[in-house]
Amino acid sequence: MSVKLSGRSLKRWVLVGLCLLGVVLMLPPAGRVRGFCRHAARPILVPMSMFGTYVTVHLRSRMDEMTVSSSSADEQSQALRGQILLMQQMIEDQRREIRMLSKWSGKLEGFRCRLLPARVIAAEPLSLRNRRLISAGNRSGVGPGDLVTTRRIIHESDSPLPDKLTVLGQNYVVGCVSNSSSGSATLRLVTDPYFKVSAKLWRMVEPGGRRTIFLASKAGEVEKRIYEHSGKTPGPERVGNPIPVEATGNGREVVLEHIPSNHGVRAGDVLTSDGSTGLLPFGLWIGRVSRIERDRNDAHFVTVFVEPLSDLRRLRNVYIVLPDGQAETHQQ
Amino acid sequence: MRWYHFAILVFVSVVGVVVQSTVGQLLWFRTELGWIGPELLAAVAVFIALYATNATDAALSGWILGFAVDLTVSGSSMGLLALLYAAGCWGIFHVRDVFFRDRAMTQIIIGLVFCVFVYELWTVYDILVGGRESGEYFRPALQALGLSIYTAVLTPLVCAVLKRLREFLLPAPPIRERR
Repeated sequence: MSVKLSGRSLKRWVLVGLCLLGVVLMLPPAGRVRGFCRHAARPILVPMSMFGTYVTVHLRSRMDEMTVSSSSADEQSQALRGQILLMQQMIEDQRREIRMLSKWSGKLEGFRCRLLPARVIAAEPLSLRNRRLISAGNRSGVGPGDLVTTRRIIHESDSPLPDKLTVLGQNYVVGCVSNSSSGSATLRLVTDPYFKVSAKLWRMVEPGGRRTIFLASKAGEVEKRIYEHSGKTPGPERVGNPIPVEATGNGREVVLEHIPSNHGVRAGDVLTSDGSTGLLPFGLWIGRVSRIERDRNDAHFVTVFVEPLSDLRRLRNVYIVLPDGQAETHQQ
Repeated sequence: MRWYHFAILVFVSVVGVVVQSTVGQLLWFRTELGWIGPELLAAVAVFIALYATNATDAALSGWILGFAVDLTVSGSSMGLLALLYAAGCWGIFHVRDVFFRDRAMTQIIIGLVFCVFVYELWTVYDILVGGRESGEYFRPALQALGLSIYTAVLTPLVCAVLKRLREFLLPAPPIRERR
């Protein structure tokens, strides 16, 4: 049964009230009211969004499969060969990492943390922001600044994977938690303009290749060193010391500004996490250098653009790195 | 408009915002400026403003649609989109008689003006309040323009779909219009 409004004036008063509410919500002290409104809407929006995201991810996968099936057999086998090489390199990297950790475990305290699983449930409704809403929250001890990594595995959707297979976690950093409430949190992607993190930039050398790096010695002189690929791995290798950088996003990719040009950064070099913040283990991959631009104001510096290694558009399952200290603080 | 029309509009807003933040991403594409995607609720607001029976109804509907987007957008600008949508719908209601509102070109132009008004102002507010660090102010404004153009192109399509559901969203049109 419909109820008629008593008149246009009543509607006008309702409109005035709603507009006043809008103004109040914009004021800085109304943070709690904003939080309450978002919290109240979540029981409806979250389940619907989860279903929508599930549909979206599967639609994208289907579209990709259709694209792949139309390519020639040669292209497919070449792509598979590339994947095998990548997997071999990843296995080797993991082994090296394990050896390094076991070697240094006596000297270093080690990074003790908990990986908190979360699931991406929705994107921002506007393409003007590059964030994702994830379904972990204060109940799980997530707080602003906790970094989020994703682990993706390659599998064929038509055939189930056998048990006890080793999953090679790619451990790519995809962003950090910008704000969280009970049951949900916002993931700020590495490409977000507000994202900022200390990182290390590694120079890489291709198999069979060599690379010249200029290092500053303690005496202040510049020393020239040539590194060659060891040939032990089929993929590129890290050479020299990493360059400490500050990474931020520009909406499309990760940007490293004011990098001295004498470091000789090239496309293909790798950006990894820096363990200095204590929020993230050292050496997790973030992205690969895609292009370099000379600084407009100073020719001695360059701006480096890094393409994230993770497919940010297809994020679904993510893990929030929760250092042990942080977890205790949050629980208190 | 009656109460149940607003209740249906609330439901449409929720469904619209969920579609936009999930399946709607398939319509996004990457440009040098960043991701550009359509704003489906803006197209719904344009439809309501074009066919509402009075300006107050149009503004109230706009507020509901804008608030639905506000609820799901992160940041501290909650309330602004609701106000801008309400103002935009009110404005469209007052200029709509100048145009033939059933024409696709009219809907495109009105959709473009509406989105430019709403999202350029929203972007300016976001830049001023958000404290952007990268120093890029021109790019977000261009990105908002891209969103506006994309939405404007899709507005006639959304209007065509909503016209079939008009009896649920809006009261019956006056006899003169029905002819």
